Amino acid sequence: MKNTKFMKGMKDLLGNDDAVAVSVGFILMFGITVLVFATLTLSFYDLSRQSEKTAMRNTFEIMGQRVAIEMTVADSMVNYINSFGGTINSIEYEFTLPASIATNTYSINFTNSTNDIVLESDNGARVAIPFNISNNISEIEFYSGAEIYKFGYNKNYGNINVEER
Amino acid sequence: MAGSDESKTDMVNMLQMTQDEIRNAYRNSTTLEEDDAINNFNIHMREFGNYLPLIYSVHGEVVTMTWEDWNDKEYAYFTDNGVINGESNWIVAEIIQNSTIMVNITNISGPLNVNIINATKTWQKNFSFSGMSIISDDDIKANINPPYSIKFINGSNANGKYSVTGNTAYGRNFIYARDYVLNTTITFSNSKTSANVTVPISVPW
Repeated sequence: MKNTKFMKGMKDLLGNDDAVAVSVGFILMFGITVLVFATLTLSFYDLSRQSEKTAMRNTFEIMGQRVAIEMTVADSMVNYINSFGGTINSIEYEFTLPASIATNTYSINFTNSTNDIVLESDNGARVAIPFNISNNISEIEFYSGAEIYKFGYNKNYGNINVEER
Repeated sequence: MAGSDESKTDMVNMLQMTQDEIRNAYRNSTTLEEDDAINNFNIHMREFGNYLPLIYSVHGEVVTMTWEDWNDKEYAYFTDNGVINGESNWIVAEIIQNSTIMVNITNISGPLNVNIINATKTWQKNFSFSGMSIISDDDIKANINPPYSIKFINGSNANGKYSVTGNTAYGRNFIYARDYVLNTTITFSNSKTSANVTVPISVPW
């Protein structure tokens, strides 16, 4: 008799939701929703940042290789004139680079020690493109913005140099 | 806009064309008396200089050329490119079967040597004074067997004229000769490139 009464009491308790107030339920539901939404947003943001960096790296690769080719052209012009025993009074060979990529500015570094063109953006995308020329190049770093640059030749030092136009 | 390769090849072509034209003009002119020769050379080059911009304007390029003649000019040095700071020790001709070498020295400050070299032996002819000397084919063959190479040593010690004529071991006739080095300045520009260069051109070959 006593056991039957206990069982009935338990059944009533399980079927009764009066212990959770409506306001507490709402807060719980809202909190969980916000948490799920925030997690999803963060994941998408991180994903889009990763895509942006990948796109920038790919663009840097193409740009860097183009500049390396242009540098080779300037180098072979200098070599050909020198093979004539000629004096280069002045030589300028222009190339262009965009001011920004995916709304990010970037730096272009011409290194003599490793013979690389290093392109690097503020968001961490970085690419080093090797070049192979027979003249030395004066080390220099630019920040994108000028858009038009030029290779020149310093006849006193026998160096190829890069300047903003 | 002109492509990158076009700039390079057009400039290289212009240098090569100018060199050929100056040599042709010199060779054609030196059959005349000295004064007429220089006049004739300048007329020839002026006409070439007038045509050159027309040729390159088709590619959207602006070019100019100025040249010098040999009036009041010293003979070239016996270096590889004819100027005093050029390579002093250099090979004039290789794999030669027969040849006659003429060396006419105007000024000399130290020994000038002409080496005739085959695979096993070197025969050297030394020059210490100005004046003309000829090394005949018989002189060479009395000392060294063909095929051989001809090399100038200490070329920056002397200036003057030289010529080497003969034929190679493969039967091809050749003539290498130099009287003067004439400086020529060319300017070249298009939308991408601009250059101003002075090149020494040895004449007649």
